[in-house]
Amino acid sequence: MTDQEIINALTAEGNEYFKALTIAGVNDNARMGRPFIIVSDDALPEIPVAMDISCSIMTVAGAMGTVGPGAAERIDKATEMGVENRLCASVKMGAYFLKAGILPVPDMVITTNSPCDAVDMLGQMMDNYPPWAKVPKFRLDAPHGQTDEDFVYFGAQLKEMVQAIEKATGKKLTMERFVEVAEESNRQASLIMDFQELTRAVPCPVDPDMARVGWELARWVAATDPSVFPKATGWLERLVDVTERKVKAKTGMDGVQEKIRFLWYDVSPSWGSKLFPRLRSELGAVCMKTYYSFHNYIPIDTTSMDSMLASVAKKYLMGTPMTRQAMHTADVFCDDIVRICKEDKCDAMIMPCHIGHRDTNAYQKLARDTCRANGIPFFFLGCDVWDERYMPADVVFDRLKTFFQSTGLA
Amino acid sequence: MKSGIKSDSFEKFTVIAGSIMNPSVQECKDGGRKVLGYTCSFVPEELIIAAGMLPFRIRATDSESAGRADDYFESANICSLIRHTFGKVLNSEYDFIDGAIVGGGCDGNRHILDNWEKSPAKIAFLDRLFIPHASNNLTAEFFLGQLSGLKSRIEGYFGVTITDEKLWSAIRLCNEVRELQRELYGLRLSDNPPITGSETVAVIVAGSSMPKEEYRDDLKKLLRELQEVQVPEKKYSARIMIVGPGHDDTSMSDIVEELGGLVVNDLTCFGGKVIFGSVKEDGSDPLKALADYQVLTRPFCPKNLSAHPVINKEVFDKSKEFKVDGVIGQVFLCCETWGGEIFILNKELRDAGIPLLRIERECTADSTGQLRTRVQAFIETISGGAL
Repeated sequence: MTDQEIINALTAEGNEYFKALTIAGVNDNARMGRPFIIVSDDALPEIPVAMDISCSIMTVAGAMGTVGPGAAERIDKATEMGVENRLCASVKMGAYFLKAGILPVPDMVITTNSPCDAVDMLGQMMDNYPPWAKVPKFRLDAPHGQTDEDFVYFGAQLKEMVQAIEKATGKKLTMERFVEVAEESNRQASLIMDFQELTRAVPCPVDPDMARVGWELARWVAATDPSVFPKATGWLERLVDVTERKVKAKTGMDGVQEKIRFLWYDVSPSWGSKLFPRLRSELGAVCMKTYYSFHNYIPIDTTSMDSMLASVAKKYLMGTPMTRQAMHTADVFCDDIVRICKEDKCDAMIMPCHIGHRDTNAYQKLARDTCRANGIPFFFLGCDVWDERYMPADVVFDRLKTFFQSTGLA
Repeated sequence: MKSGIKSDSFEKFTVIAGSIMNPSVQECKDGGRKVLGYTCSFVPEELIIAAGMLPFRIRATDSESAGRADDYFESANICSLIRHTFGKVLNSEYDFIDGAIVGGGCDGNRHILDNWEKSPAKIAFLDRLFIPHASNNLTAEFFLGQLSGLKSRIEGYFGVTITDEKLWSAIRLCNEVRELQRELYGLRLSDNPPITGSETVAVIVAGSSMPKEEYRDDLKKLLRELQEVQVPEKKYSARIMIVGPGHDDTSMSDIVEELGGLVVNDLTCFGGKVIFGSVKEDGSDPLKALADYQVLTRPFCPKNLSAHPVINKEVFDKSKEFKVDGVIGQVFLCCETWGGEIFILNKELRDAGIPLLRIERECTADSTGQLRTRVQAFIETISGGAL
């Protein structure tokens, strides 16, 4: 296989796995025979994998609902429910799946306020959904601070959550298995960091968005089906291998004459396949990072059960995309912009600010000022990453093209 | 609809609630007392009072434009209460405060601090208080740690000592005030109350904008006067409860009462939530008593994942007790937490035969024409015809 064939195969494999995250996948997960939990947002896969349970994520199922044919109609149906007009469409879609009565009854429901008020609201709806009235519930309070005290506090809640899962499902979390999973998780995190480092080469060897694919495989898909967890490690190893070869050979992305490197500081749009390949092929503009392709190495400390829970907490609070950007102070948000632009040699920063994302939309001036102070060309887009109708992909392309031309980059 | 109260205390409350800076605050400042602003009802006023300072609830009353705040907050995606409040900060209307504590009740509120710290309006003491989003012993304990840290920072920056004795004294004072405020609310249990809902909002809002002892004394005086007032005969056609976020002006109640309704109760961030329950006075640690009160006794913010059953119970209990004909669920645009809460409550109330009108609006008094039409139709529907 050529390197490009390997990359294509990895992409296809990832897409196949992602079916488990859709609303159809949620129903399939419930039928796997494992205890089945529905969580409002990110599932901290180390715990469900170590306990051999299946966790489906409402916001992810919602986000998957905004992709592909019929997405606009589904978003409209979700809007017609009348929760809140300017609500993030991925959360709105999750709420719609819930109210439409098409979700199975889980063995347990876990809700959290992370990463944002919209997910918090979805959690309320899950917590008070009449068909799930008798289902055991657990609520996780994700703190906004970033100190050891916050991590220990969240870790203590995880300890209580594990006890609640054990009671609801009959499954046990053993130290031995948790250590195994934590070590594998650390290995995956290292591989993602290796890939991230390799993609910083000029020209960029492989689409940096593959870090998102790998991360989602290792976390979201593995949480739905623990048997995927070790396979995600293998997937990441193959990705790092092919990327290393391309860096050594100094070959860039297939068919791309790289001229511009930019940061897309938000979630990768559900309609991104109409935008990013075109930016690469027509303008040589490569998206170096999005929220989900930017990662920090936060290892799990396997010394004791408490140290593992506190470091899983830290990894969750400071390492989970969206949670990192939305839950903490503006300094974390703005420092990351400067760091990414420097490390990834970005020529510009794009702030899409998706509809309903209060946190990013509260930082528009701070982000602009940060970029100005650091000489980074800044563009505020104001599109929606879920619902393309707010600003179609070709309009986004035109606006970015004009921006790149006016800043002398294109 | 106005009750026609003739009372100096009431006039004073109305002036204070209708503006930001007011004579009572000015008097404090002139006397050398510091003022500490705060943005969320989960920030305990008791802590500020025990520090010898005046707690002042930061609000957006009477704002007509978010102004320069829209440079910071993207206007189509951030709730108007947040933008207009910060607009007032940028517009120098809060220059009289000596510091501020921003409570992280909702995301918008939290980001006021992020922006404030980097704005020309920055002041030296700007602090944050993280509020738990679930109610249990662990979260109450964490909040106690937050309060303890905040107490130390206030002591360090302002050079004061907050003793347990001062805290207990502040707790007793605030409990007494809440009790008086509940007594005021209780007046509308009657078929023919001496005070309207709109007037009550003004009295309650004033309570977070002036010295507590002065407020307590004026409120006692008002309550005495209201007991003696000759109440004219009933002039309303429906008894309404308002549920929703910060209700820091009288605009919504005014509309209801101008159209023949009477607001008999509310569960809002400036009203029913603030006056609920009391801090326990029989413990050994006053900070723990405050933490338990905020996290375990009154978890009414829908940002709290444990809140809905408590909100549901309070709305149903008060609807029954105050003979409510209909509930207005008001949501500010871009407020997901109340949007979700009203969505859930809507079905529950309807199933119980209590009509609910859901209104999405901006926090300012704009667009009242459209609001009036909807409220009028609601009142006519639930009362069986126009007054």
